[in-house]
Amino acid sequence: MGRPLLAIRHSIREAWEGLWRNPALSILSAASIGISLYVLGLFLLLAFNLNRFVEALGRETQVQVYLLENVTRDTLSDLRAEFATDPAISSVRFVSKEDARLRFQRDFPSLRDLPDRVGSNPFPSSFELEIRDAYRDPDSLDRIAKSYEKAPGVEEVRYDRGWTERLVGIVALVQRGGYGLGVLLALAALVTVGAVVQLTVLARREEIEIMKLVGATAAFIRGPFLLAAAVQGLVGGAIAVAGLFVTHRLVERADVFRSNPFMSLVAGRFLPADAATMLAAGGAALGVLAAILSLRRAGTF
Amino acid sequence: MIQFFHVSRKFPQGTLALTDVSVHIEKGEFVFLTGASGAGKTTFLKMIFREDVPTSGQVVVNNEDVATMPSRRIPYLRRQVGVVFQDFKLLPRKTVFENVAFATQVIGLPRKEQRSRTYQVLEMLGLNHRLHNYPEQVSGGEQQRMAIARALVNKPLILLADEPTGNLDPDLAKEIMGLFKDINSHGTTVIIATHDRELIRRMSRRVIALDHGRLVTAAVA
Repeated sequence: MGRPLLAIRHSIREAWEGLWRNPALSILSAASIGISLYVLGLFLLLAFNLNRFVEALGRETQVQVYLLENVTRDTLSDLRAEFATDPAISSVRFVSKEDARLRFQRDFPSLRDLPDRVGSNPFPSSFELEIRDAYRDPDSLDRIAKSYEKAPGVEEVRYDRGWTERLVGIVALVQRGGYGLGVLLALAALVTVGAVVQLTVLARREEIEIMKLVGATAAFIRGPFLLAAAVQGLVGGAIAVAGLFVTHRLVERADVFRSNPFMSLVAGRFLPADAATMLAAGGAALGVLAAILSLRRAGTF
Repeated sequence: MIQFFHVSRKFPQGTLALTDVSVHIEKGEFVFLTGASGAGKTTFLKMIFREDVPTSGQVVVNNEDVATMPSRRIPYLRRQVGVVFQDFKLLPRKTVFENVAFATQVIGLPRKEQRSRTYQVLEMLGLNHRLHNYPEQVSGGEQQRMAIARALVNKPLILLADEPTGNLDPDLAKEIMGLFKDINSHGTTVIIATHDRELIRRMSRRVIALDHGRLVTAAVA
């Protein structure tokens, strides 16, 4: 077996022994990383689902003309003719009641039973008006909306641009808040894991001193500590992801969630697989970073 | 093999451990380093394996200036130098076998070779009946031999011993010195720091004498 492989085998063996030599410290390290990643993950989950909502809104056209329940074909034709002569409108799409229901169930899968529970299809039919760029300022949108509000067959005219911008702002705030809190907790985890590594170095200082005196390289001495910290961090990250999944499931099943459309925004979908993997890997990286900083402070190399 | 060129060592609190020491030690020599307590013997030895560096001057070991050597080279220097400490520095939670084999692990020897070298050196030092005992379960002389075994297991070019017979009775001390003689006869350069004059007289080897950090003599006894 080559020397690098022997060194790796040594690191694995020593790291494993180190993890079990003092299980309480190992658990403390994993838990502190797990907690910081769990909180970060909660904010990521919230931001992820808010982003989805914003993107869904982004697909929406600029102005929606909601129609009365009993609108006739002739009224629909008249409205289409009016839209065709309006220079502000670039395209028109008709969304039937059934189309609207299907769209809702697609965008909010956890609430797909809601329309059936209400009884009849509660979604109105509508015209979605794509507005030309030149007319997309709030004043023009306001004017366009007002011009169709009183038209026959029209129940309500809405344009959500301001709301979308506000929501984008909220998403950014949530993300910043999450990152800020995550960074604080990550620093706390760094300190905790660093302290654990220092305690371990202290407990093994005799051995380390002799290793140095008989010719052990820095990598040979550092390897087991870094590997053990990476494992603790990975376990912490995995616990965070598992905790997030359980939280997500609990929120999904809770009554307050099922009747509250906003809660679906908070926990509609779980994090995608790559984000969850990054979170767990982030735990390992955090553990290794803490170990490196701590070994430097201990003067081990 | 080992050369000191005008080496001085001043500690931060102002103590002069060594002052302008220049000496050459050839390959395969057996040398006693002597002087009263505080003469600078331990500091002298530490410089050879880069546990300490001179404030001024040069220490050259095997054609390499150890003071200016990059940190990453230090482990490789130390693999060429076996050190027997006054306090043995044995690991209490490892057996006799494990304490010695430890030195072979850090240099990355294959497991099989770790075992065979360790058995060989323990047999040479008469410790093959103590393999599974812990340091506290063996005698002072056996602990000393464990320390020597660990220093020798990687076949160093140089063997340093700091007061190796300090804690031993005269018969045991004689036995240990016999071991060092034997090791030296196989080509290893041996430097023994001691203030035991009787020992030095009996062995009739080259003596490097220090007095308050200064070289007094570097001749044959």
